[in-house]
Amino acid sequence: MLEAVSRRSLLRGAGIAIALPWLESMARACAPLTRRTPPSVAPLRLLFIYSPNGAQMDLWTPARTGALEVLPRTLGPLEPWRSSLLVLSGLTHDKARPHGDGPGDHARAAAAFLTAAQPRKTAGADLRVGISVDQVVAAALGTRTRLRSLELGTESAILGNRCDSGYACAYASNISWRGPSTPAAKEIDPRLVFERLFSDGPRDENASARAERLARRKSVLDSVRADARSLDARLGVADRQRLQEYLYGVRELERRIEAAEKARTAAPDGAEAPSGIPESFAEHVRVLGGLLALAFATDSTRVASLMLANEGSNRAYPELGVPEGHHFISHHGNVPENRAKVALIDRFHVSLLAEIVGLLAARVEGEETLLDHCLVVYGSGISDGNRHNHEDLPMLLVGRGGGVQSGRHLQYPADTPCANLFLDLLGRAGVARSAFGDSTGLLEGYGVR
Amino acid sequence: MWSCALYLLQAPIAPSFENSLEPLIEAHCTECHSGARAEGELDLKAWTSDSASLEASAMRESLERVRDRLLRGEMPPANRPRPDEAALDRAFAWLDGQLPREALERPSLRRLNRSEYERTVLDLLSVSFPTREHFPADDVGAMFDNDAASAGASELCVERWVEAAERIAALALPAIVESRTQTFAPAELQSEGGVTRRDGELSIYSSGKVNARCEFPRDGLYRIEVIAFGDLAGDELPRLSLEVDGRPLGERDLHAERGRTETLAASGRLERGEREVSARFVNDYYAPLYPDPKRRDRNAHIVRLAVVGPLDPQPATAFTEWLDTALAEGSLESALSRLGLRVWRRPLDGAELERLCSLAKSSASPRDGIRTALVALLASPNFLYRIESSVSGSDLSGFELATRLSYFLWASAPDQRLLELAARGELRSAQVRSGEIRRLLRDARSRSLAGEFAAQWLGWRALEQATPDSNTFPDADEALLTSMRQESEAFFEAMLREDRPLDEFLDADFTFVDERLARLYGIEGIRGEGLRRVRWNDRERGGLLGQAAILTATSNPTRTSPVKRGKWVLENLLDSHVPPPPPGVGSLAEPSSHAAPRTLREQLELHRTSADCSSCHARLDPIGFALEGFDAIGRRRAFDADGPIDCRGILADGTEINGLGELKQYVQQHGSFAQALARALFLYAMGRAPTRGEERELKQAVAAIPAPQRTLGSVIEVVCSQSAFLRAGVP
Repeated sequence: MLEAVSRRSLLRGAGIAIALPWLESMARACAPLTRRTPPSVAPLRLLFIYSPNGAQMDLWTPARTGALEVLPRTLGPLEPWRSSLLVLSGLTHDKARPHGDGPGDHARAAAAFLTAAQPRKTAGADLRVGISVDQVVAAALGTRTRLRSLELGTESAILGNRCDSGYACAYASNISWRGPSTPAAKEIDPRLVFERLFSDGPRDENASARAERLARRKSVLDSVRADARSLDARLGVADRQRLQEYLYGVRELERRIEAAEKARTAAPDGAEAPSGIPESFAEHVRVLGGLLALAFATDSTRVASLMLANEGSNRAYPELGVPEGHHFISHHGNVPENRAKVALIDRFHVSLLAEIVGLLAARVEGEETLLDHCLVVYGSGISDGNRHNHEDLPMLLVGRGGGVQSGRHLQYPADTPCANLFLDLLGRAGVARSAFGDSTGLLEGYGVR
Repeated sequence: MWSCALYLLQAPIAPSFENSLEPLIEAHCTECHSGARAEGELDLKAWTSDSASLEASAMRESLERVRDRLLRGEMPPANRPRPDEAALDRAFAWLDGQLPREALERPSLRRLNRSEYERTVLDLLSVSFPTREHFPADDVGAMFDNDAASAGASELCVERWVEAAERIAALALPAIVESRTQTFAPAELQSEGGVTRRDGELSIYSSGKVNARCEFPRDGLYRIEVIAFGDLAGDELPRLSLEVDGRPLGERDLHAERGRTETLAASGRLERGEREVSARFVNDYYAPLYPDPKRRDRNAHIVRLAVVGPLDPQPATAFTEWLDTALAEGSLESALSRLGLRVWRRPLDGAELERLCSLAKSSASPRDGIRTALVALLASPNFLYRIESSVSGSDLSGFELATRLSYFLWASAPDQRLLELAARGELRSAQVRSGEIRRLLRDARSRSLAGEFAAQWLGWRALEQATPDSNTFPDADEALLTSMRQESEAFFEAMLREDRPLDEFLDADFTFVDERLARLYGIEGIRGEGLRRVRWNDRERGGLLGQAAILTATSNPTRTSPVKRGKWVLENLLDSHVPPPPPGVGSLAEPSSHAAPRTLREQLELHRTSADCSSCHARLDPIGFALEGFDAIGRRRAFDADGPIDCRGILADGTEINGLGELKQYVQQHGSFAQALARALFLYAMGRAPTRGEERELKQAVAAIPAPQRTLGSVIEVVCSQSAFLRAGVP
């Protein structure tokens, strides 16, 4: 067995650029393999985590505003990260409300969560919402990293023959929207996520075989692009849009080949490929969280989203003593036992958030930790699962990146758009916009500008 | 737009706001949608011919929304009178004229979903590629995961498609692996046990082994060689076991002593991949008191390990066999042209063929070239999407029609015969088509109608994600849930294969069970795995409604849901649309049964007391009550936690029913099952809901099937003869 250190130098000797922690790769920026100029500060990483079916707000909201001293029961697991936590009360997703579209609050909640846009009520091919905040960042800054963004989840598509009240299932099973009609499909298998981040051809492939493989793939992409172009003329307007999505994917692959031609990628030492989807839900989330931390630490991407479950998920939590199914029990009918069970799930989800935050904090980045350069938005598009209301949403911001002043509970005026937070975050990420979704301005008071 | 065309046929007056939408709004909408407190923030009274046009920039969304609601029949609400069809036609004619084309045009393009992709690759290339492990899941649109709504392709999809194309092409047409010898000198060998390393050898003095990691480039026959000599002692020769990944290929005696070497070899069939090759010394011997000091210690000294192979000729794959024939019969170009026809389901044009040829010729060997061309074919939108480029409204080309038929009936690519008929233009003949539909249905591939169509339509696919509470239902493990799905699939397939009367979906005397299901149903004498056909003695059970898969899929983890069961029956068997609960009402207002002080039935009775709820729940709940004799995993029961079960219900039309038997009678008398089936088949076949006109046509065609001939097959044939199925584009 080779020792870790010698393996690394061996790989370097072979001309392989290991996906290095951010600062380390910056320090090596003069090396011929990486041609970036080192920025003066570490980039901000954004992570958006979704928890479905709302929360029991009485056990979520801190009693007082201002400095966070005592965390309410549901947020208890975040105690180690209290000083990095912002509880943002009073935020609203108005676009998740019916506005004449009737029921379907679950579908609207997830669809509006990162888009702050009203999804068109349809189960047909004419779905439309808006571009989500993570994808705005990915579109603007994504070319700086190997992957523009990562979209992860624990549940694949919804298997049932009817989704929420006349809305296509895509609305409830995606929070990231690359285009107004294009959800960014999420990956649930940790092994595939790892391979996507770090695999770079067969292990024993020599340089010329590798160059040949990349060239072959390029010529295949040239060919399929020509196919798509010649099809374009033969299709209707709406179908041409579909083909554009395909072409966008082709271009993205080409970009990655070009990067691969300049440098090889390999997983950092100690990073093992996960073996597949863990049986336990908690373990599944942990492994995905570990991969997110790894992706950020190696600067493989700077923006990601994670759905703890699809909106309206009826996952049962027997491990918590809640066998009824999450959606079912979230209609608690104000029965105290049922509310207590919902709160158990809320707290469990928050404990998983705390673990992910712990993984970010455990990674050293220069003099600081990765958490110092991260902002994790955590929340739901529904407030009380029993009422399906979309004001006073459970929303947290964890991390110390982007100049936020954490360790506080802030109460915003009623109906303050969530979009104001996103608009402000866009600015902090370096993608300033004049408006986003139904924003009315920048969210005030949670950080320095 | 069809409605526009229809309208123009009926009334040659140009549609205007005043003669189309306004009267409809006045008659049906403004009672709720007017004034400052208009429902849905939509004040329709304020609309005038000036304001309600696109000139007023803010109108587009409102117009679109009004059109959507009318089109889907969600407005006016269920308890209000419906506008007549002619009034709706006029309204749509005007609305469609107002909206820009891109707002009206719906994408019709469909891509292969995971299941279709997998079946297609298996049928075309005999390559098994488990798409579920590689591709992101397909979202369901209205009902099915083959819906045009699910045809979007994110970056992740495209990435996985290109990777899959490379892998599949490499499996279909593996690179030629030349036989070679890989030699491992002492410096490249590892060891375990009593082994000493010397300059030119590894000496095994007690039990131990010498090993190396070696890449086996393909499945095949390999020879493992060890070059060694021994120290002789005792009455046996030193013996080495040649092993791969710890599995012995053979034991060999070592005759050579120091000064000479000997090659020992053993052969075996091995699978591709990196494996550990080793030589293990198995008969260590040491007799320190033996008189001859040179015969006291038996040892083995390893000089080299070697792996030779593969030694067998490279096995042909289905694709290499096809290719060899194709190349023997014609040029590279003709082989690619034939391949392209199969993979793209249509002939390639000159430019396309030229592109593929130049791609193929740029490679080192013809085999590599064809493989690259295959990757390009599989990664192309022409393979991944079901392209229909015939002008909207015109007849589909033969190839497009062949593709619609095969993906509808097989969820896979058209076979050679369908493509030949397409090329000869014979699929245009209704008689030929009918023969082909029957042929496709007889083929085993039509099983996809059970596993894809029925599993989604009737909802038992949801059991893959279902989690019945293990405390309440300790037997309901994954194995049981799988058996349930298999039962319903086997039943559906039997209905198809045996062309049984449609009524048997509602009431049949047979089903399929294994031991698990037999126990659940109380059937005796069934042992072990594997479904087998049985006759029901519990006669009431026969048919879809008595099947565990359906009773479980419509339940909650801890208890039954009469509401969900009622909805399932209304929508799937009675062809009745259940509108979602009105705005402002919780969509599932039932409190959990065990926590509330009342019985489930009493809780549901509360629906009657609210006007908002009663209009629909009066239809839903009584049907569900009739099924209360079955628990949340489909077992018969006479009691639940609240006491004796009451299976009586009074349906919305006043009919009293008690239990499954009477519910089945009611559903049969209602006679809507064929219509519900046809509508679902249309959705699955077309990837979209029928327009109003299409729905009317379909209903008439289904109603025209004489009762004795009503079978799954005949309804499928009706769907395939709809003009929507035969023509291009979305009206």
